[in-house]
Amino acid sequence: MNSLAVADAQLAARHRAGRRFEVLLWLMTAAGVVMLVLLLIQILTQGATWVRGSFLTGVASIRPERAGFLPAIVGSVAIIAITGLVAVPVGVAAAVYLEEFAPRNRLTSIIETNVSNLAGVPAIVYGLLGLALFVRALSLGRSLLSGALTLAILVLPTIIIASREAIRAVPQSLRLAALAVGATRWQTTWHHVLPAALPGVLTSVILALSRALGEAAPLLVIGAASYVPFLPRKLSDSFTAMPIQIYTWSAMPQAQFQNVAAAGIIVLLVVLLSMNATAIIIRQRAGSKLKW
Amino acid sequence: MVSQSPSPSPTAAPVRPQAAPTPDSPALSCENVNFFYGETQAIQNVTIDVPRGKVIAFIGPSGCGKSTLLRCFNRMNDFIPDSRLEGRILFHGQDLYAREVDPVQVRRRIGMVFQKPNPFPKSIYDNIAWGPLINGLVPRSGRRAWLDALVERCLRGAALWDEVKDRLGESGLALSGGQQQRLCIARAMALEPEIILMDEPCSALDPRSTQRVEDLIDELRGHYTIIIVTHNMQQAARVSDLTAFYYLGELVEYGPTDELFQRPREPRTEAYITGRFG
Repeated sequence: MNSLAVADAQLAARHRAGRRFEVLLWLMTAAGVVMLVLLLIQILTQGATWVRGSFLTGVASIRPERAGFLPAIVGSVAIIAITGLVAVPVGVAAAVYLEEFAPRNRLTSIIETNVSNLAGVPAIVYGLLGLALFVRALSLGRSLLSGALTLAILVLPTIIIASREAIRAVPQSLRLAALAVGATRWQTTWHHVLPAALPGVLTSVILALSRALGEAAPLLVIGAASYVPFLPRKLSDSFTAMPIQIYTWSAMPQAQFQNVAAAGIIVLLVVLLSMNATAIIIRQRAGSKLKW
Repeated sequence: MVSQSPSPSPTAAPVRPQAAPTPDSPALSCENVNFFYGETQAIQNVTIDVPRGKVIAFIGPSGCGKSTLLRCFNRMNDFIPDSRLEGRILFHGQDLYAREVDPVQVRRRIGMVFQKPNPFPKSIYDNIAWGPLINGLVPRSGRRAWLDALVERCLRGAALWDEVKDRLGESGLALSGGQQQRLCIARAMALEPEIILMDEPCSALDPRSTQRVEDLIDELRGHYTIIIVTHNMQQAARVSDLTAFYYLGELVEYGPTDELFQRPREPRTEAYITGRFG
């Protein structure tokens, strides 16, 4: 057999190996999707009929058919709003500093390493920090404000890292163009770099806030209440949040509370998915406008 | 034609002139300039006078330091970490690298056009107006009229007005590559700089657009001092009054363009312009 014939025989085997791997990869991909679909089906069959007017507008009750989600929804929305108000300016400012202004020295690289490491710290550790710092040291108590500030610290590294990526993706030629007409560094950043990075920054902010929306552990540690029969009115009020309420219901002895918990999960998922959808819309809309 | 505005820059103080400019004094002069990227020396002891109102071409093979030297003239290399300049670059008798000189002011007075056209992702109008606005050059009363006049003057000066006058609100990025580059030249002109640095301004353009930019450079001759870095020797021969040939960071030969191309004094210059290396 000459070498070309050998090569042809091998080629068929190479194609077969390729197809085998393609199938394998497809199965792996499908596994993730199947899990999500199964989860959704299970939650929907269990809770869909429980998502009704009285559930969305009612307050906590020890009777499953009268249990309401409103304090948790309001609590979560209030917490996320405050978290955003605190974490976004601080996070974006830190990202701008690190990308556009920080000198390349040892201190900067220590800060950068720290921020990256903080992003990997488990959420419950932030809960302990919030308990020690906000609840105890600053005497803010087990309040809405303590919860929001704790979540703000939790998402800060994520916002910083993702915003830095967005700022770094702005082409250098744009900065040089602005500097070459006598702009200062700040004018260059404010008028050109930030607007160009805005879609990426907003995406990172929304993804970070949706993570905060789903966190239960740190809020449990700082003492979110599990039974809140009223709506929070001010920052110092005790509070509950959607994941906390869901967790509480799922731990209740009555079997029907499992269905209430599923209904809570559906509401939480709807809020999360609409936040993610907003991020995608922002990215696409801005992406089509800016091209280099 | 480039018309000068009556009172373009009421708030712009000069960079502390120490010697009164005379028609014969150079626009810019380098004295024993060395430039380092970290340990690597990119420019070796360059001394050169750039006369006022002329077009000067910097030529030489890749990596010869010509672009680096150009960026030294408006302190664009300040942003490169670990870079360092020795020697003096004099502008109106003032060393551009002296401690008291503000690089922002240097860049306002010495404009730059880049290799790849880089208009702002703003309207054509705002591309021109932004520089004077952020530099505080726009008078308080009659801003709009002042800016309208400036935009028209600069776009006419850059031979772009007739092509864009009906769509000044469109994005600068919507223009063709050649138009974008002329917009960038107009943007530089809006600050009424004395010197315009051009770093291979035609290398990303097709021959037709290149032709238009070269025609424009010819029109600007006398109104501005233009220093153009180019890889294209025909271009250097076509547009420049004086040519400087650099090799391995050294200024090898500098003289009137005709002489340098027809009767090069240095063997290295001759080898380069006849295409034996580079």
